[in-house]
Amino acid sequence: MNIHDFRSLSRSCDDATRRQFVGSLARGLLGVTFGGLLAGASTARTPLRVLPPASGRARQLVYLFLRGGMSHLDTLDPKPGKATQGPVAALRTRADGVLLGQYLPKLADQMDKACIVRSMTSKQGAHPQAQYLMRTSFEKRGTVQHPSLGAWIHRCKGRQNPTLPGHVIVGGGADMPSAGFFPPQFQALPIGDADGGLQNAALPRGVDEQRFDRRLDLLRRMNESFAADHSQRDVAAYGEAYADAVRLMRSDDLAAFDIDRENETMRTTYGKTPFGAGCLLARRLVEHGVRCIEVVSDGWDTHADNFDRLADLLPAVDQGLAALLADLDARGLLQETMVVLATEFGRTPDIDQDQGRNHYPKAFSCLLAGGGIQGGRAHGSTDAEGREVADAAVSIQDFNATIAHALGVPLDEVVTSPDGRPFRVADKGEAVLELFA
Amino acid sequence: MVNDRSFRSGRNGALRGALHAALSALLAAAASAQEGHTAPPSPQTPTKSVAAAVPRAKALAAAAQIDRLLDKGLQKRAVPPTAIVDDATFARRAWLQAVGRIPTLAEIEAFLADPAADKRQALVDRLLDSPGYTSNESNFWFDLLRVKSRQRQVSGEPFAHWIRESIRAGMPYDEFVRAMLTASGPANAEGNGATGYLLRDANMPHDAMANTLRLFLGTRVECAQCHNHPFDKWTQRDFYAMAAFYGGLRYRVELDRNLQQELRQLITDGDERDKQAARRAVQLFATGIAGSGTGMERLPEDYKYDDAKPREPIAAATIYGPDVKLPKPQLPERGRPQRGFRPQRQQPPQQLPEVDSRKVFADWLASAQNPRFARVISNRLWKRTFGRGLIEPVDDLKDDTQAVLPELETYLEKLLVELRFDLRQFERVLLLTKLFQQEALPGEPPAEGYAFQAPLLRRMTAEQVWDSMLTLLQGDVDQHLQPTDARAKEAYERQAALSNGTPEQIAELVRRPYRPDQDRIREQAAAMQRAFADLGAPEQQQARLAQRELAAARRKGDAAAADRALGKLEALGLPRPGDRAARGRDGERLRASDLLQPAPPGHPLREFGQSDRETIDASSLAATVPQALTLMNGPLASGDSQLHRALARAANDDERIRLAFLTELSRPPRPYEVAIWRDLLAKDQAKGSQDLIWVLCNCDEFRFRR
Repeated sequence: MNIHDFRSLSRSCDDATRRQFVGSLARGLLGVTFGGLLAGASTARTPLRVLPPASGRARQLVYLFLRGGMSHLDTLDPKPGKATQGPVAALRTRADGVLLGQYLPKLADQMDKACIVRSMTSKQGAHPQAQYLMRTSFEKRGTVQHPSLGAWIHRCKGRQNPTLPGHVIVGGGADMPSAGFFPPQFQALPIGDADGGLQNAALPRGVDEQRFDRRLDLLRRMNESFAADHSQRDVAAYGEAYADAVRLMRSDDLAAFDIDRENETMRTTYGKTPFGAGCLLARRLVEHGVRCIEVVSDGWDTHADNFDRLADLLPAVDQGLAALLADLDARGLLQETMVVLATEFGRTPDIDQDQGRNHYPKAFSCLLAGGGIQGGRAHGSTDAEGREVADAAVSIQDFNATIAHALGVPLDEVVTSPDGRPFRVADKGEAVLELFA
Repeated sequence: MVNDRSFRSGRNGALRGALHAALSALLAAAASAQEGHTAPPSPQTPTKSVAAAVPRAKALAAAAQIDRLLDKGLQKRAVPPTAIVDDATFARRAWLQAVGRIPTLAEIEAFLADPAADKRQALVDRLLDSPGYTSNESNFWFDLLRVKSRQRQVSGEPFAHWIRESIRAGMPYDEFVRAMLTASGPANAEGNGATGYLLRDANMPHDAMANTLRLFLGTRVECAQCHNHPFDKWTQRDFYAMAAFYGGLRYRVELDRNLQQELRQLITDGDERDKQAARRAVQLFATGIAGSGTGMERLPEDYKYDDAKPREPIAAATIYGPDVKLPKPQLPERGRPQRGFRPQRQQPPQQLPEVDSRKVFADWLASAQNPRFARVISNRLWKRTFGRGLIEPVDDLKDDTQAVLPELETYLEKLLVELRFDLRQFERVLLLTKLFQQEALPGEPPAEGYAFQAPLLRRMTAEQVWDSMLTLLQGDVDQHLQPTDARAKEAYERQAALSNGTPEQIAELVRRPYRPDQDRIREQAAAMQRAFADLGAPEQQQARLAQRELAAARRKGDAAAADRALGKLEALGLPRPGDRAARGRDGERLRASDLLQPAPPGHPLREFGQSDRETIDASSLAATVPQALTLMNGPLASGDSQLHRALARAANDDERIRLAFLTELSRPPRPYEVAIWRDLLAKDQAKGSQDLIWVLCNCDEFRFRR
């Protein structure tokens, strides 16, 4: 069983084939059956519509999310000379004709690898709803929890490294959309802060593997009698979490979570900031075969003192993102790793009396790199002052469809939630194929 | 309190330990012997006793009515209620619900041994009168109000202080809400904590209004900020009419004349550093809430509907409920929007007359007459007690929203109003119902239409997990509850010093960089040095060794070893080293409500789903791998807690098993459980005990609230 077989088998999201494959892999590696693990939401195929085959060029995803709505005019879509630009100057980049805001010089050097989507547009201007929409492609509802894009990818492609989690989120809050209505094994593993890494992954002193196994066995019996009286999903989810945790403890790749193993130069290149550490952790996790990694950064809701605050916030992003792109490229991983920089909406072109910009979903920018994306350009544009999308509008669903397409998740595959409702990975979004080389 | 120290070789350890053991035995006896309010004085003990304001008979009558209405609903659906739980299950449930932690060994033993017929009811009253209530209730409000200790422009500690104190003093809910909506003044001045509510959304008055309507009226209008609401009846114009109540809200207050002069001096005469420091001081100490409300707001520039023009001024108007009257202000000319980059010296916004619209809004919102005010909070508290609201979701009511049991819902609203919005009395009634004593639902509840034949099984909240873990590690954590203003004092002192200081003092204070945690860390380091100097030479050697062990353990991320090293330092009488305290890995062993809000990322509180306080309702009860790792390999997995010691001391194996089950699961072991563990302990008592402790804190029964 080699890595190519793995890939082609996992390109199909057919449950039966995948289950068989992963089962045999698991038996080979761990002597364990994965029996119940892939049960869950059923899969129906809607046959007819002819879509381009999912490219599947990207095997892994690094998704950098700036929460709060990053101002687009001061960063990825500057309008030099216009009143709406404010005091931020524009920089030339390695991509001809593509300018960036002055606080992104390192990214400017890496622009040959990236594509800025300047024609993002949405109708959702409130934070919780817009963030939810961005991460799940659906409107937030009281009645169903949609899985995040990372969970869809995890579910469809499975884990690349069976002992490590399929989806890791660095930063962000406890309620980030994750598995949603998918079975609990698709819950992402949250890492509170990248510097701390994975805590408590080592057995305590005086407890060897044998004793640990005995403990686990006693625990199982204890839980069995509890489960007899209480058969809720929430309880079963803990069984999954413990199984996953034990697998992780026994993984040879645990060191992937420890950024202290990187040398000083590497740490400085990425920047010793939470975001920089997050990007470095993401690179390590990519190397060790984690399918989806998200890094969340907060503080972008600059209603007041927009320019001062961006001057404070952007260097960490500039440094971390640029280091990540260069590093992945140098290690030959960029072709097969999609890197995304996203935010839930942009900010008003008009500057208010608090030197701030307010929520602006009508036009904003995100960035894509790697995973088959053609770098060195900008896709779509806004008008002269950055108020309206002028060309090639990309909805949030289209954006997510593009990522799903790159990762090989079929856009037409319908998954039914436990209460019988049908969903597709990016809802009605269509992949923007022109972005791919 | 039985703690680590009592069994260490420390000088006073043994004596302290004995004293503590005696004290807790005394307390347990006292607690079980009488009904009244006899909790030892604690800075967080509620000032009023529940029985004083409302006699128990009256509370029981209200609870009985609730049970009657539930029965009615169940009979209609031909669904039987579940059975009443035993004392052990009830006790654990009551402790978790009322004070947010599991009972200590002494507490559960005392309760189980109590022969009184009304002991369950007495327990409810006793718990609600205890300091743990303040701590537990604080967590609820910290979560809902998104309390953050560290915000960009202001410390959240005064707000946290004000919340704790309001709970402790039994401030009625309507007063509580009104205070937050109408608060004014500098944020850091003592007594102004309520300004923290509006400051949470500083410079975002529209978001503040949307959050207010969601929190207190269960009405979601955020979408209407940008366009007519797609699913509900609110138009964008409606939204702006509501936002107008906050018209003219300012987030800066006038500084003291004294201070103003001094700062102006620094800005004009001082060097660059002084200028920076002065500006920072203005930012920190002029931050507050000002403006009673102009009752006017302009529609946005891009307003696209026919019913008004862009930038048209809109007068404040409520979206439903009783009409409100505001004096009519003069309407200014339709102003020009501000375009482009403004120079440093900003033009002040147009000055409209202030008409106290915030007070009018607060009176409209926080009143029994508002159709949603009592409805929403009573539903939130019902959900908190029984696992699901009578209305779901709790904060998205529509005109046609119907509770699953309408008669019950109406009764609850009426009850809350009758109780004059005393939330603690309302919670008391819920805890006295038969429903609260019933077995949890065994299976999955239906998606809709659940009629409450049983409370729902839920996992403990993150705060309950942490507080319960502390109880296992340390015993009675309520003994360590801090004064409600412990963390806010720093901000108050600085504010007072700046207000009252001489020009030199002010200049000095302003120049010194304001880093509250750094000050605390420095103090702790100094205290550590003093304590170290007091030790004899052999103890100093031990301390150095322990410190080296601690550093090594931290480097390796080995929490258990770090814990052991810290235990050694503590036993020698040294205070906890502070630098990682903020990170919480081996940090302050205080209840969640006394810690930094929220706990830092990576802390067990966050791992178990404590909200990051960025958005409302951002906490989670979901299972994750880091939680499993913490429980399997974290502090409780090592051999060093008061629980381990208690087991080691026990007379025989059966006693060990009994102690472990009572302490961790609040119940005696079943015969087959005794049989299993007896065998294991017979083989190896020390390891068997550790394994027993480990299994019981890792099992589902520990973390789910039966």
